[in-house]
Amino acid sequence: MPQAKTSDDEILGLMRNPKTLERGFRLLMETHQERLYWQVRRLLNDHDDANDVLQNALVKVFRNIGQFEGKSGLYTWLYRIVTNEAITFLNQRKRRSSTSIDDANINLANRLQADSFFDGDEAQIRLKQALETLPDRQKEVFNLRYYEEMGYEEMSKLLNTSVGALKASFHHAVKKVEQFFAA
Amino acid sequence: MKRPDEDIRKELEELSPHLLKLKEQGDGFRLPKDYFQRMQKEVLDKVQAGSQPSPSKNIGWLDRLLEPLQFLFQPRWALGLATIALLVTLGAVWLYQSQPVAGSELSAELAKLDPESLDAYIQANFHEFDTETLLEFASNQEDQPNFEDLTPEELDQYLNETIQEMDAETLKELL
Repeated sequence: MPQAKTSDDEILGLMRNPKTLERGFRLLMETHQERLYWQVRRLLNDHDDANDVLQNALVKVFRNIGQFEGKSGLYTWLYRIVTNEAITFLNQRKRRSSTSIDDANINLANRLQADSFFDGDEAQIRLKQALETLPDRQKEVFNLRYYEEMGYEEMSKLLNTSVGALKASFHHAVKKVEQFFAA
Repeated sequence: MKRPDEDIRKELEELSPHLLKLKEQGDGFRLPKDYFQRMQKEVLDKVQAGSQPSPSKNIGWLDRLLEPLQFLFQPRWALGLATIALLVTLGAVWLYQSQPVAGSELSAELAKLDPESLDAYIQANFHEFDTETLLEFASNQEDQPNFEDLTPEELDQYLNETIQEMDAETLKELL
């Protein structure tokens, strides 16, 4: 997992000055874009969708950087904006589509097999299908723990949820995924 | 192939060895070449084409309260609401003016009219008045006798004369 090489203070200091605003924003993207991208990509699966959502969210970040009060870490603030944008996108997609879960899983498998930016095998496609059956929040916890390997303490600050609740959520998600494979 | 962090590795060994094995294979997602450099450039192009960041501000309770209503101040909403307000005002004025003037106000208005016009109007709009108003009007008529001073015979005579003066239709309505 890439670590932030630049401090929040340095980025925010640059972005508060109109002369160094663009440099600060570029630094913000360089520091956090990769983690943010993968979080969105794992929620949406499709690269083009993830790219659209991430770009829109970053434009919002730039326009609203003045609203950042520093009560949380910069990454936490960015993460919430980006994840919120991704979940809004997912909900819009769900509203537009009236397909059943079975059809949605077939569609997902077809999309992944045709995706030039996915080279996973059958088991990995099944895992993606299993994750689609989880509620958004549980899927988010699963992704952070399983793929990002984030510790529960850090996740607790990021999601503003207790460590116990996050552990329970992850364990429950793992059980559901296993049941999906067993079915 | 990436080796999982020790902490998650132990957790998955207990929970699901199958998922641990899958994890070691990666998630199958790939990225276009130089994706992040291009993405950064595209985002910078977008922000340069758009507005500058909004300055930080202290949001008061009134601003928080009015925030969900900000859309009402957009030109199309504001114009629509102004039109509705104008129509409501005009409607209220029209309704107020078309209401019959009641009670003592009516008396004052009626006093300004000449008795013949007033009588003609009341005859024509008999059903529009309530009893109290008619009684109040009647008590103001100068050429009416004072009924309390009349004897029963004089009252009979007055009523017969009045009935004879009425046209058939009015009499029918009264009876």
